Amino acid sequence: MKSEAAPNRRRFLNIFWIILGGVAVAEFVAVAFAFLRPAKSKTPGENTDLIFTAGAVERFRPNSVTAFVRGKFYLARLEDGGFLAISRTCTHLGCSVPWMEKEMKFACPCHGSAFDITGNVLEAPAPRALDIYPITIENRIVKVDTRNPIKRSAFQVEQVVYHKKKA
Amino acid sequence: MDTLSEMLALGDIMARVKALRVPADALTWHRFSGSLLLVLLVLLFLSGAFMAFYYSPAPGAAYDSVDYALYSVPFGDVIKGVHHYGWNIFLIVLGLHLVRAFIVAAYKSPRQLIWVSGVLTLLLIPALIITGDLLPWDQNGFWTTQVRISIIASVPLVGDFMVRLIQGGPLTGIVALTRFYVLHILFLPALLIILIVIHFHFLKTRGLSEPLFKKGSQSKTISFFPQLINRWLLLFLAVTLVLGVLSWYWPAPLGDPADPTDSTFVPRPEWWVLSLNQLVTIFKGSLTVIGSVIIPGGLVVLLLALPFLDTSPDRHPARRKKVVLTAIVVAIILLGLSVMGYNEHFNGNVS
Repeated sequence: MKSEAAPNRRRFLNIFWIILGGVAVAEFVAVAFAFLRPAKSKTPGENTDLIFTAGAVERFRPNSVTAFVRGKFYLARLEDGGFLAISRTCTHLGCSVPWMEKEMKFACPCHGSAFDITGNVLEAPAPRALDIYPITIENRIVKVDTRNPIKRSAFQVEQVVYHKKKA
Repeated sequence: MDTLSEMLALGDIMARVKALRVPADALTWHRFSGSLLLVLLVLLFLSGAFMAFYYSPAPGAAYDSVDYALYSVPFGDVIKGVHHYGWNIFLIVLGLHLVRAFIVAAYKSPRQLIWVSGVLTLLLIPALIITGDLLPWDQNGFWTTQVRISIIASVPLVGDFMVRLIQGGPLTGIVALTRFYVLHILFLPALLIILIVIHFHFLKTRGLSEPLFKKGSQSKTISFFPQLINRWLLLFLAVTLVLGVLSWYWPAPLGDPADPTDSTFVPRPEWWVLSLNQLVTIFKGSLTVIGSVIIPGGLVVLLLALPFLDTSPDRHPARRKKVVLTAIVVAIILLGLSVMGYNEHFNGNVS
């Protein structure tokens, strides 16, 4: 009895093993293909991941700058309570520009350009003010849309966004 | 079949592989860790190779490329997760592997060099972790690297030079990232493979250590191919499944992009380095070298020299009281330091 069952069991295990291995190989190939498949191009205009909710108006002190690392921008609140969303990319050669709290300026570590709180050039070689992003304020919540940066040569009062109409 | 193997001229090799026999207890539960390590290593190599398809080793671009692979590529999170959980589990199993070899004194003559090659493999892992942690160029990786670099810099005489050699300059910048990348994916894995081949060479020529209790069970053997290979493949499938499910539900973390100007970020030490990190915290100022070099270096030398210090033929732990007690004391101290480090870094003192 035993001597007859053993070859059958062995054959069954062999076949089972080959099928299992085949499934594993197929899964590996499928994952590898899904992973390496060329990406579909996504137009930046449709990517709503690039709209950031910065927070409530009250969170930001006047005359302060708050960094949004994930969104790659700074939210500046000016002396008069208006908002500017400033890109952290230097207009000279594209380095990331840190905000210097003590000196109240953006100072580029690459080539020494400096910008004031509105993004205006204080020191060359940067050719123009830092880019800004459109801001919307609804129910006192500040939202920044980083899909399309607005290029500008210098700061202008019209670029500032207020949470209530200025009297 | 015959004509194909004749064409490939693999007949000799196949015959040798088929003739190879290994002890039947090569996969018993207490010898399991070695096979598990092998399987995890293959998975680490595979997942790493796949991640390399999407990785750009340049500051800034590196983060974006990892972010893209993690969140936008199908199975990107699973592949990064397999690598992430893979190395954590690898390190734990490697520790168990070492503890087992210590308890049954598998390092004794004629197997001293199996132990030494194993310890050298263990020493290579921190280098792989340190170089790997920087690659995503996120806040945690960047600032953790700064802490590690400053500890290396505290080594007297050569510290500063070593830091500049590793980083290719005084700062963790584009040259440093490229160096870490090449070390992580090319040189260190190659070194790891060489050490493991050496480990296996001694394992084959010196044989597995005899079981402490059941004498004579070594005489039973199984074939390397297909019996042992089949078991390894089954283990491989099981581990892949576990890691895959784990990373499907809990994807590997990715922090905020690194900001070298933001010195307010306080990195938390990883679990495996808590005890050593605590040593550096205890020995401050001019004493730093004790915590960063002398104690860890001493431990490494002790570990490497163990087979040549404990030379009595006795293998039972009860008959090696001095060695076992020393090891227990060292283990308790390391564990205590880890608990102290955990309390300091994860329980509120540092937010």
